[in-house]
Amino acid sequence: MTLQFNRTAFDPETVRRRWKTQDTKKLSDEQSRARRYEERDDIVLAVNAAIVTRRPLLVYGPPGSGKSSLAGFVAEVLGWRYYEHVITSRTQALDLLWGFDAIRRLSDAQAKKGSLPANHDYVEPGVLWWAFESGSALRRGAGAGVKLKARPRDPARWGKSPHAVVLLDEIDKADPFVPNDLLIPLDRGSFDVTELNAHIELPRDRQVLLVITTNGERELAPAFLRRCVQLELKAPDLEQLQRIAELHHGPDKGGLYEPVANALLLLQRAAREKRVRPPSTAEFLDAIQACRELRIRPGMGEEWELLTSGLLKKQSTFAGG
Amino acid sequence: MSRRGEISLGDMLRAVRELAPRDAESRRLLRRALDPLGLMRSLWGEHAGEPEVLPSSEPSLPALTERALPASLPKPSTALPIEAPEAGEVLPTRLSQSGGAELPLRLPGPELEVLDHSSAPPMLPPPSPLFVPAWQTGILTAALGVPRPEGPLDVPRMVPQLARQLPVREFPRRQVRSLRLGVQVLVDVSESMVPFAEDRKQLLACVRAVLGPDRVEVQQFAGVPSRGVRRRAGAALHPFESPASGTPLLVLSDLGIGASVFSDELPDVEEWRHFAGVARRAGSRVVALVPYSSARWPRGLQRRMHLLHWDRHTTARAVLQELQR
Repeated sequence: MTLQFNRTAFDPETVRRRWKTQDTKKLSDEQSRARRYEERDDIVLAVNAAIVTRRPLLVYGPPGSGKSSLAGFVAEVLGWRYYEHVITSRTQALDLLWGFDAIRRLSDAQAKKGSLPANHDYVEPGVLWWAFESGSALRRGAGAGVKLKARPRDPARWGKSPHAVVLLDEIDKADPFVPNDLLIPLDRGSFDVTELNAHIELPRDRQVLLVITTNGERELAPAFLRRCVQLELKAPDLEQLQRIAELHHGPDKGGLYEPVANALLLLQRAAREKRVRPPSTAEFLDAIQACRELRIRPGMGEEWELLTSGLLKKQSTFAGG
Repeated sequence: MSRRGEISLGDMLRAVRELAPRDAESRRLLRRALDPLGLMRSLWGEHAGEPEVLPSSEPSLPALTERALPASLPKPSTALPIEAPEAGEVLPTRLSQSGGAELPLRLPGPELEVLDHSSAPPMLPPPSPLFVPAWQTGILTAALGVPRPEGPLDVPRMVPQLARQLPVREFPRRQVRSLRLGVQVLVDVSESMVPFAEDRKQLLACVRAVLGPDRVEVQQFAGVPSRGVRRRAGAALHPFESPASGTPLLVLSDLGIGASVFSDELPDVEEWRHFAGVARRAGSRVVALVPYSSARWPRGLQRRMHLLHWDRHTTARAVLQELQR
């Protein structure tokens, strides 16, 4: 069923038509991959809601449902700059804003007696600084007349638009306090770099769409949840898997996609019954690729068995079973 | 990004004005995206009575809903392995998790040895886990993580040394929580813990998954660990020995709350206090998971060890708050 609403800010269908007439040779591999996203109406609605309300989009769902790849697709459709930051257990909220290399500064201060290095040279802008004010990030927060030792590299994966999409991948991997520590900079769209006494602020005429993914491994603070537009992604069904395979590998000439998708769905069901991680869309695409390259057909005896056990089942699928 | 705090009426109005949802499903999805906790339900007239998600005190992610027990009991299936318990074995069946009768059922011996599988009673569904499964890793990481000076350089502590031109003999580092010291798990196998046998098993599997099996040492005890511990059922008891200094102790026990007052295993609070003191002097933090609410915990024990309610409402944040107490 097609949902009826105004796709004012984010309309992938219209942009896809434009893409068809574009020269794709200038695109990076990452951008090409980002364009191969199978969007649904509920996704388009949630992204539009996040853009018009200027709220972070919190995306959750099972592995392989397209949480992480959504942000790149949105950036590509909107034509905005795109930043990624994969959260780890060691990630602190400050890492997303800026870093300060105190040890290098201390070392330089001791080695070069008499000449005190400027703090700017030891500041490393984080992904949110780049998204909010890429100009000041490029100068490490220094004024226009200040000479820098080295300019930092903009970590944008692509795009030159003043607006940006930022992916914070797997927020639940971080310390439980990290999302709370981000509330103020996200609410205000600004933060202060203490070492520089500098104020970084997202200009009113610019927009940053923050896409945050979670696997639900750790609960998020209610205050954080209440600030986000939420989107639940479901694992793709048989039809969607076939469309995803077409987006990545082109039309199904040999009738390969359906049987491999069926095999994946069966294994996913078995894995869920055993309460282990089910194989995801990524493994499905790998299996399709391998079948095409090695000319293996589903049900081809031992070769097919080996392929499914190596690519779809994997060890974790049946570990503990 | 907004500078207005939580999602509010203004956000709702803006989204409705800009996106103009024209069908019921679009309105439902928009409401769900913007107001998943249903706090502004009255604004969405036609859907006012429709419960969408859990209340704010509950987690909003769908993992939680998977925990609900099926509405009806599954029919016995020949495909399922039905194993007759050994003679005299205590049936690990929890009848209720919410304050109802929780009685271990002692089975008579001989006749069960010839139990016919086809005449076995309908199998009960597996008990709902005590912790929210999706949160279990986070809870255990929080409970078992030990603060260690292994973080980034602690610049504020180092600056005074440098300012006084003192030689830096050791880099002061910030504290970070680490799991690398492993854990000694003390599992209470008293009769009163039988209703939680499946939970013990499942939690131990998770502890091993989080820390790695080689970092988990498991000992069993009945009553209180200081009465003696053993590595496995049937093995000889030996005196409890604290693990290496710094290694946390995780106790899975009801602290005797569910034990009969006539039971030999019923522990005395003083015995628990003594045990906690021994562990603390040896440099180990004691964290006990108790499947009963705090109202029933022995008085004064919380001052000696960290007690956590082994329950679905316990979160990693609550664990950290307790450990920082």
